[in-house]
Amino acid sequence: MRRLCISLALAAIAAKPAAAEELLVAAAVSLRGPLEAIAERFEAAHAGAQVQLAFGASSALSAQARAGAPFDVFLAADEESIDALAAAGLVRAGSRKTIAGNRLVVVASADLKAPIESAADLARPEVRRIALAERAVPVGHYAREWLAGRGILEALAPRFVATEHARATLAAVDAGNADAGIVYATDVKAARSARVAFTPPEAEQPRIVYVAALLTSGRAPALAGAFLAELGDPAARRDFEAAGFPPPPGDPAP
Amino acid sequence: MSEAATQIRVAISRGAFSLDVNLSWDARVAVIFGPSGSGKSTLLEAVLGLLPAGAARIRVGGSWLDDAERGLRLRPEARRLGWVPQHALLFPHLGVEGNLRFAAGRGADLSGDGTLARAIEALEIGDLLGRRAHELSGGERQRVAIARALASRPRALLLDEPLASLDLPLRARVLRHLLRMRDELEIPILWITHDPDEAQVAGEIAVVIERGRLVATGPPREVLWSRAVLPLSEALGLENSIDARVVSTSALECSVETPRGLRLVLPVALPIGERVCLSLRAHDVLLSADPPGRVSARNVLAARVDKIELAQGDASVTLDAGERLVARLTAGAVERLGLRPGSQVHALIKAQALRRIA
Amino acid sequence: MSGAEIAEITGLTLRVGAVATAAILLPGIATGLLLARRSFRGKALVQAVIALPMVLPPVAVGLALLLLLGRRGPLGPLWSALGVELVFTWWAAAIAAAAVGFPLLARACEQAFAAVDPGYERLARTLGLSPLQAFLRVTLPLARRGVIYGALLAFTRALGEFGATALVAGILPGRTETLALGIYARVQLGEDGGALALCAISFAIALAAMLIAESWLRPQGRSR
Repeated sequence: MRRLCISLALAAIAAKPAAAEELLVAAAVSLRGPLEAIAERFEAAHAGAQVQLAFGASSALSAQARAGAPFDVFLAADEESIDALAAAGLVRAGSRKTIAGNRLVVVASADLKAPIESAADLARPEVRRIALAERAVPVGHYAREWLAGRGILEALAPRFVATEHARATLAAVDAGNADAGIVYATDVKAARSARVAFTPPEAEQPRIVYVAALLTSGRAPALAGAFLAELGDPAARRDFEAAGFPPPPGDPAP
Repeated sequence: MSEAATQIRVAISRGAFSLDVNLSWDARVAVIFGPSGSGKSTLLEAVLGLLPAGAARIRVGGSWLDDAERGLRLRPEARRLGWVPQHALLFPHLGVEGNLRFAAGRGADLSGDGTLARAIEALEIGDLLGRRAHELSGGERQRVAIARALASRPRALLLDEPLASLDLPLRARVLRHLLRMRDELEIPILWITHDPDEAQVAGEIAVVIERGRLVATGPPREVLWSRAVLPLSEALGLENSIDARVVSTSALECSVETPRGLRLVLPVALPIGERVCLSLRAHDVLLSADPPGRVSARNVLAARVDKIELAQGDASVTLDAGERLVARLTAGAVERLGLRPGSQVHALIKAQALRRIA
Repeated sequence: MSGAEIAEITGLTLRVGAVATAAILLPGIATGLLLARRSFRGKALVQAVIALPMVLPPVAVGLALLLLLGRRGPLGPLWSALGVELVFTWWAAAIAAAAVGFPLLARACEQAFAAVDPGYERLARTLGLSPLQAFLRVTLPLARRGVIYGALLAFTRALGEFGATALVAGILPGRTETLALGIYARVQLGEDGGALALCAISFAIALAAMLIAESWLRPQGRSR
């Protein structure tokens, strides 16, 4: 019995030592591709720095930050998540920066026979389940904004299958658990069997903007500042473009 | 006035049951006798210090354990009393040797001349040292429990119904060990039992407890046969109680007659008309299948066998000799004499076997 | 999913489980002993409260912990004053695991101690042992199997803890991403391969722990 206690204590003591300097970045899950590349470049340029990326729905991450999660940098898929953080006094003054935009697309399951070529097609009887993120999640309210604009939000509501974030929406359609889904254009690269059914025209697209900010709850403010600067660099711009992210709306073309 | 070596004053209530006694004696070995539920075990727990604090005053063999007036109350681990519980309670996770060492201390000497070594020898448990508790028989466990109690070098020994959990054939053997142990030890002994046979041989003094109260104290044979205690003793296993009246007397003996006309001779001279209450142990009744010739027994009664009960080599023969009498024989004797219900026999009773208790 | 990632997540999970179990070992044994040996007014209520983390939805437990441990909860000023940051660290994950594991350990201990005849303790007392010594040398060895089973049960529960951990520790890679949380995140991302790999590891660990627990419980001889 004594031996059991001792081994448990030793296991506890052998905890992983703290990294040299750890930067905790919370980001919307759709930014995964480009951010991993940017983080790698950052670690190479800053010896001893370790970037820990926490991906999730911007709304969920925002709630965690407000509950005390020690994020240094926050990249949200909408303004509202950052606004909520600012209201809680968590945003460092003057650190807010828009970094990219995005577009919505409608994806369809490989099993779906019926063609989907417009918003109205989503009302077809063959489309029994439509995956989209919960209302609080950015991609969720962008999708609802678009559907409301087409006047079919109410009609389609009974068919909605709520998911946690954009990638989860895609996964649902990939797995065949939903016939169609509304995700970001940048997500479809990760699709396995789902295909892009159609892309709403520019005129119908909601205003999607990715905003970055530094949080006061962070533990590595200097490093965070450097990272934020890096996000605005031309190199980062190229990473975003390569991943399919258009520049933020209202930004002049490079 | 010098104080008695052992004094026990306890008043305690546990739900519907209450124990309220004020006992004292000087003898070394005391038997506490009473039926189940009379409070004997509660008394023992009080002496051991295992009961919640009360206004107790307890002294054993000259050592004070509790004195509510002086604010003295020794914790159980400080009392140095050797307790042999009714079911041995040998620690299951330790073997026999482990149990003994637990009590004696790890470095104890199990061979040689010490108390423990002598106890092991007297109780004949030397061969059992390597065994586990659950491998032992009831009698072996009891003997190990006694050795364990002694191993802690106690200032007194407390035996809680040491033979009760044993089969009948075993009791005689263990009793022999216990009596030998008792005689070798010098420490006070409290011996609890509900068996009248045991009570008569175990101690120098008997303390009779019933329903939480003291009934009588005194030399065992007298106390157990006394008028106050006899009903209890009978209930616990004494047989043959006879009421009679003296009808004739002479210088050395008298003759009594029972209501049903049975005549008996007693070795005392009592006035005619005196009422007597006699007790006769079943073992004291001899039976003869044929009319006996000249025998030493003063009382030879014609009787008819009513009932024969056999148990483990012993036989209880209930007779109608005018009065109901119970005789204890060996089963072999019953067989040899060819006894069966209805047999006509003669019961031989020595005059001295009839004890007058009232 | 890289081997290093798997190793990191597994290591973190085992560490969290070990720390949580070690932390609740003494309180769990003490509580089990108290419940087994004493009766007092309100005992049923105490037993019910102890069982709560076991029967409440884990997220409810997590929310309660979040309020208790967070800087924005009622104890917030205390944590700020002490300079202590617990939420979203692996300490929070360990606390969540300890909270849900405690009732399992305490109840297993209660049953184990209740099964030991109090007569043995009392006998040990008359042989000169203090109550603590009697407990350590007699009651605990006799109840050993039940106590260890309870500890193993709490450990495996800690390994699998999700709801409370997700709320109070988040799913921070390298810090609080345990096996359970890792599986969930990867399923949400559609990374089935990674999710299944973590699943397999969870399965192996749980199986090993339960095999040990069952073999420990199998009596080699009667214990009474």
